[in-house]
Amino acid sequence: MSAVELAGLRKSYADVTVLDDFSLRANQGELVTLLGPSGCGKTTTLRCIAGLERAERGEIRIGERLVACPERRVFLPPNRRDIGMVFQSYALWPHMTVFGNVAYPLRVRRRDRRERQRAVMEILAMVGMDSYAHRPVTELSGGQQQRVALARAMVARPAVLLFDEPLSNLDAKLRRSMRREIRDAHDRSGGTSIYVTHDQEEAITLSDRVVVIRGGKIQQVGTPKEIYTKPATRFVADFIGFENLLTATVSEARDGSTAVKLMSGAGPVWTSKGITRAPGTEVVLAARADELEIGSPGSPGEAPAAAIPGVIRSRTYAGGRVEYLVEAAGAQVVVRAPEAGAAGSMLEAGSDAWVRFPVDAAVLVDDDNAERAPQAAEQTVESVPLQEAT
Amino acid sequence: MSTATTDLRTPVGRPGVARRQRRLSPGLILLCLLSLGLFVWPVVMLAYGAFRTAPPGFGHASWSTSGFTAALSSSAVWHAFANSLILSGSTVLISTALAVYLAWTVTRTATPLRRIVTPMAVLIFAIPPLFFALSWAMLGEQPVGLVDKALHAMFGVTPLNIQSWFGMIGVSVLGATAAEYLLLLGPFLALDPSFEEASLVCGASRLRSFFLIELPALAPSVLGVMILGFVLGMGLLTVPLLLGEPAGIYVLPTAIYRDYQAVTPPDYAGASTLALLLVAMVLILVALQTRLLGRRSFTTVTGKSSRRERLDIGRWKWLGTAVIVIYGLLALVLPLGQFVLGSLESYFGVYSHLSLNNYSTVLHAPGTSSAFETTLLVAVVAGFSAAALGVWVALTAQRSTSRLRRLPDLSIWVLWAVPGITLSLGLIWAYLSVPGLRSLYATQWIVLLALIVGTTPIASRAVTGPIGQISRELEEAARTAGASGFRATTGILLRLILPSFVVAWFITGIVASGNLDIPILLASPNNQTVPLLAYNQFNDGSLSQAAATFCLLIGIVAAVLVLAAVMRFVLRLRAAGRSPALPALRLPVGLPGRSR
Repeated sequence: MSAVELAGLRKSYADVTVLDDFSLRANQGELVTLLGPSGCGKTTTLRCIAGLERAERGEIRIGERLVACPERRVFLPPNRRDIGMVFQSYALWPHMTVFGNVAYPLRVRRRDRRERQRAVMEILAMVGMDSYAHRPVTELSGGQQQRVALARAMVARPAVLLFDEPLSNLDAKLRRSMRREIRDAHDRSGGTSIYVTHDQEEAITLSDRVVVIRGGKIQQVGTPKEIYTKPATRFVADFIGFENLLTATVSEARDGSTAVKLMSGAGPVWTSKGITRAPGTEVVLAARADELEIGSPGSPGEAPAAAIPGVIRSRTYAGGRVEYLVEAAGAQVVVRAPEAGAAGSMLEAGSDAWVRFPVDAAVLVDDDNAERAPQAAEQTVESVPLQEAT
Repeated sequence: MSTATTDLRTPVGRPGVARRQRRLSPGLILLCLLSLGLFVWPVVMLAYGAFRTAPPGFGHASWSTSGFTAALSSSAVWHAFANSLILSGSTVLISTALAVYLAWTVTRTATPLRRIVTPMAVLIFAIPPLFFALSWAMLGEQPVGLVDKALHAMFGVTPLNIQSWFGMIGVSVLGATAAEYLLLLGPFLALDPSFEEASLVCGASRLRSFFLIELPALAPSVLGVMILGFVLGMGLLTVPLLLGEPAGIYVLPTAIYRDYQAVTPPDYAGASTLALLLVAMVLILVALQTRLLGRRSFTTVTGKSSRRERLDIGRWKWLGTAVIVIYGLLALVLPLGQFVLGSLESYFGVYSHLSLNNYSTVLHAPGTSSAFETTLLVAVVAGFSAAALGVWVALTAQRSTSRLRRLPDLSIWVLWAVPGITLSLGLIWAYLSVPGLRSLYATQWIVLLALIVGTTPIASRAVTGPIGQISRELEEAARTAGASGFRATTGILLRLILPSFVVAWFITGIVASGNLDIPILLASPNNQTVPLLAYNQFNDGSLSQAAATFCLLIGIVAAVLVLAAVMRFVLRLRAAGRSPALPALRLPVGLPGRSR
């Protein structure tokens, strides 16, 4: 009914192209996350869907309706798109109470007073804010404001819900519980939701599908599991939290499995995950620190075959696990092992060790020459009231 | 600049800092005494003067309520009071509507010519109010003023008598609109654009969003500006003096002036009583405003770039253009044209034989050069001192932890209650009562001192906001980086304050140099300022010379404005090309966690 479809979207500011030939479809009832570092175009995409920005080219459809198409001079203003949106700053109107804010969408849709009252109290009860209905919004905490913003976006049962980094101003604990509430709200609404975030954990836990964006282009679209376990490119692997990205060369390929040798000649490492390339091709071996094994050469039990020798450069206690930085195969490899690992006890910094890539622990991805993506958990700078000193 | 929109919150001191500054520093004591003496004393003396039989400092005075009661039982006084309310009220209503419309047009629509509104408003604000009163008095002068002549030629009648209610309100609106527009521009620009966006995605149209969301969210600012405009309107002397008095319309400021200056013997107690009436009115207004709004201000700045689309209002935009053009014509082009033309006429109203004779007459007159010197002194020294006082007071209120830290700031607030000529009267009483200062009476120093006092509230408003936004952490960072307290203050804090200080100096300098209310009571004929000189020339019937004098002043002000604009441009270029130091300061707001 109300799928959201973008086709060939292009948007630029001055001489910077923010979106280029951007196409995407979010099916009816789906929660799709746009994930990427800041400046990648995800918020612009969302604002184009909302009608708060005009794209220069391309089509946007909400359900059967064409809402924007510059080529055909179609542009439906935001108020006629039947959407609800939660803003990063919440954008609650300070001169209204909680009730006034939430009732507003119904008011402008000219619903009668009784129905307004009923619908607002119902949605406020759903987000647990019904006892605050007549408070001014300026007296609420961040989490409460967030709930009111959510209620306001949903109260008129819009076809599409848009979320612009709604949790980035909350602390980590609150963020996790609000994440669940947003997912519940989406499921109850039955509509389509598009959610913008730069937090990979948020995207993975919340969405039906994740769209990873970089520089205005889609890098990968997939279910959270696909994105988490099978990143398509080095950039996605990095952004989604693969600690180890090692340049390697395909040495052998058979039965869907591929063996690679690392730059130092160490290996082979076998995996059936990710891309398949002909022998001799340069690829990137992506592995999560948790899935690698580590041991010391002198410990009981032989070093397993295909283990890569190295030296432990540093050791960090990481709560139940120990994180080792190992210099192996001409690269820095991060390994997180249980406290009592294969070695039986913690390994010392400076000592020799071996690192093993179990079969299918690593994923082969294309090297897209990504410079390291910015840390996903970037600091969100909250607005400081700073006025122009003129 | 108003009580509603200005947040006076004081950062809470950290324990360490608190311990260090808990004791009263000599600087704070000095500042408290200074502000009590400069700002509170005149107001106290105003009340005192209402109950004395002679001005303070002159012998044979005794306590008496006769002057007070006589004034309050006079129907003329209440008439003047009612007139003040009518003039100020209607001016504020019309000018606020116009200012809101202009601010909305400039910030939200794609109206042609919108870009000239702000420069125009700055120019109108920089030109002394006396200018508008004088030039419109000339424009409407029957039967020779430009407008009068034009109307006569077109309609064969002269329906416009500028010396009337119509003229007074109209001319007051012209000046007030510019000031209110400038005050509203900030809140209009600062209003979080996501408020409007949220309303749009909720299904409201742009126009509806403006009336349901933006305007109510701006209500505290608009109401604050209205109250301020009303207070300033109540104290406005020049327009009623030139356009009302000849028609027999008295308002409180002109009645005060008449009691003090124009009747013999001067009715000191009566003038003071009238002034108290005005003060009471202002206090009621401020109380009303506080009651209505508290200290709330809805305007929130998010620092997000507002890449909002301008509202396409179709053919209605030409209405905006028409309003801008008409406003520019009435407030700038016609008055300036009349002045330039008038200054070239050998006799005012005779349009032949234009020459520069008036200028040479004015320039060779003995009073002129001293008037320009005094005005320059006043602009530079009063502006600087007021700005410095403002910075000192704001820093004390925000950085000190003593219980007295708010006292200087509150003293300055008291001054808002004594608009225009009321303050002059209070200052006279205050300075006459102090033996040392009495000898300064009728010198330019007393004019200077009075203008410092009179313009400090403006300077204080101009610097308080920016100083409040300089995070204490910037100094703390300097301290932790190894700088001494003195070095952190001078190298970081004062350096960051410098731009706002210069702006405040500039504004107060211009306001001080154009002020008539204070010199008209305090200056003597041999140390008058340019506005007073022009006013006296006008009163003597030398309209053309008054025009020439004023043209000279406006020329200088315009030159200074242009110079400032050029300097600002050059500084920006240098800052852009050279160090990222200043832009870096703004990074915390320039880098929202938003992607494009």
